[in-house]
Amino acid sequence: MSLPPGLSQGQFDNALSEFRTAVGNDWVFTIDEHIAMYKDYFSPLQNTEAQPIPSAAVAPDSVEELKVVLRVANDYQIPLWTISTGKNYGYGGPDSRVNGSVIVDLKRMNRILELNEEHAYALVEPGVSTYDLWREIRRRGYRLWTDGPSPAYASIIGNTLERGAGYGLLGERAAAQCGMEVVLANGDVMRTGMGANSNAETWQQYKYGLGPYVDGMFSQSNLGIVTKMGIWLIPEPPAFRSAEVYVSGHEDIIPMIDTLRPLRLSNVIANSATASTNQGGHIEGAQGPGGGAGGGPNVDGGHAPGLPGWRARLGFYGYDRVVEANWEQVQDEFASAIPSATFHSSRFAAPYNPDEMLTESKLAAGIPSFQEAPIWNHGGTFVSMVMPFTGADYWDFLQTYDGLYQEYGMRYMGGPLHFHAPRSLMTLAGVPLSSTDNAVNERAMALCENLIRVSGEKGWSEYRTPLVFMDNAMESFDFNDHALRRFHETLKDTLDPNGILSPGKNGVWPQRLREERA
Amino acid sequence: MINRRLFLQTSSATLASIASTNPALAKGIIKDKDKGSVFDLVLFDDQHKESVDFATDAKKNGATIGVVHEDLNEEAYDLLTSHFSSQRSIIAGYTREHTAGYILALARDHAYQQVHFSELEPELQLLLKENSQKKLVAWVLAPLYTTNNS
Ligand SMILES: Cc1cc2nc3c(=O)[nH]c(=O)nc-3n(C[C@H](O)[C@H](O)[C@H](O)COP(=O)(O)OP(=O)(O)OC[C@H]3O[C@@H](n4cnc5c(N)ncnc54)[C@H](O)[C@@H]3O)c2cc1C
Repeated sequence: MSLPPGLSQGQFDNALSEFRTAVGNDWVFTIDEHIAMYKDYFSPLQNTEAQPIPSAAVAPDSVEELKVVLRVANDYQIPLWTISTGKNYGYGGPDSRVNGSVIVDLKRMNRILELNEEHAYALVEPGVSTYDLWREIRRRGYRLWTDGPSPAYASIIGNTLERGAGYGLLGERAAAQCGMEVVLANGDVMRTGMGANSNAETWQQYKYGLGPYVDGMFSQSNLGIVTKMGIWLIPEPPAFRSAEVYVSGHEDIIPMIDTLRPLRLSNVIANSATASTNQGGHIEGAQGPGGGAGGGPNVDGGHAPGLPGWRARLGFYGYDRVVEANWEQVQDEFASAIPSATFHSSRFAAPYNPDEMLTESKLAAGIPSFQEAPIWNHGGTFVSMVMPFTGADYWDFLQTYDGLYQEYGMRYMGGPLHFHAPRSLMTLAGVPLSSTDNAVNERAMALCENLIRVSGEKGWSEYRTPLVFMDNAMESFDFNDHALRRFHETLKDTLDPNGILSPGKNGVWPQRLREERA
Repeated sequence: MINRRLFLQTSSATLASIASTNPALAKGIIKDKDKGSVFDLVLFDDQHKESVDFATDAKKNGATIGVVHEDLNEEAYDLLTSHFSSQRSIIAGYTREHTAGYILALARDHAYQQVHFSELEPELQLLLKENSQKKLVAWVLAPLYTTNNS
């Protein structure tokens, strides 16, 4: 069993017994078998001494129990790491950054506190998954749609705080958040936006309240623990068309992106559109020396043999005639930019039957699915970069990355592209890991660190990053000698002077552990 | 460790055997079982005869059964969540490997853990395996507290 830094076994035993008094014996986990459930299976540090191992996990059931957990952590200076459902796979799973941290697992706080059809929102606790919310909407027969990431077990709060990406009409998850309740490190309970007026009925209807808008400070952050969150839903559209555009040439991605941009900006394409190569490697984008998945040839009728073509996934929503008119216009736009483009689509109308939809359509309709694994095969680690929404920028990115991959004996053919934040492009570059060969993982880490460094110089930075790259990724936000990070750390030291909350999250360290920064 | 054939017999010997590696489980839940089936809920895949036979037998012995394919359906989800929330049920499945992968991932959210798997694999490796859509695996879930011996 690992111990929190600086604590003796006796001190930790005392802390554990106080945790047990707070949450009950059954909800403090310390045996190896249970601790193993909080391991990051995607960590490049797996099978090494450097991989942080939690000392325990604590699962409070209420804000009151959580406040006691925080009091005990402050008393003993124990680093905590908060998870909602802990499925942050690829970005660290349920794991922490500091060896011996206690995981605060909020899975028991899983109540849907309000579901409002008239104003299209929900108020949820951290343990509520995308599937839970969708199921409850269906159970009540409400004509509302939700949205979320591809795995249905994602926590609404966890994924939204990570500013995750969905695929439907509310795919920019952070933008769909309205009002939160936060427990600060000192145990103070705060409500943001209109929730700060205890009589307001508009907590989930108007984001800002009065004065500085603080909700963003608690996303991708270690400044507080979010215990309630308002999330916007969307009235079910009368009709929906799930569509795909295919282009066969590798360089066709340039006009594809440039055609997509004005359509996305003007909301003709209203969903969180995505694009990807029409062939996947073991890891999206990372391919062996032969170019194809598993190193084999990768020819798909593209102009340059060996280089994949692309497909974009789009959604059209609303009144039937509008949906059809938009889709026709969009096909015209793509056909005039890329004459060889081909199209495929399926039309659906309310009342929707999820069983008639394939995974792609389900995702675009915000229907949570568990089928994503074969589509997004993340058997490794990756970086996720934000860049301008232009074909030229993406092409520069592809060439730069392919060059860097080749230095490590691999090729980069392009990963999934997300247009969930409609004025920018976010894309992933994966690197395979091995569960048996540490040398593969060391090489993967070295490549990713290099990708992050070179990207920073090019002006591309990560939208979100795995635990092991958090310091590197934050380093690229360097304006005025890292003024932003200094601001984050000023806030951290003020709001959490003992540095108990998720130390090192996204490269923000509390004073007492700052030497841990990589 | 019991093998899959033994598991499929659904006999109380099966669970006793699983429990022998989990003494707390034996003490906590199994001693209360007085009905035929040691499983309270069995999920099966109706496209596979072996799986149907397993569920039919479990049902005869008093277990609730539910169908699950590649993706989770609402009925199976409702069955799972109601059994999870009881914190008493022993849940078994004979499903595709991919399906087992996400059910095991869901189990942790409800303070359940895998106490038997016909091939021991962490939940994520199951999800990531090629062909996991097709291959059938057997698994048993029990509440976490039954093994929390602190
Ligand atoms: C195959 C596959 C496909 C994926 N597809 C997508 C996708 O389409 N889109 C996408 O966005 N992601 C995707 N992911 C990544 C990830 O699985 C999801 O983002 C998932 O939603 C994150 O896990 P979670 O919801 O359980 O959040 P958690 O793991 O619970 O939380 C994530 C992080 O948020 C913070 N946090 C959580 N809860 C709180 C709280 N209450 N207060 C303060 N901080 C908190 C913590 O730092 C925590 O580590 C994918 C992963 C895989 C393996």
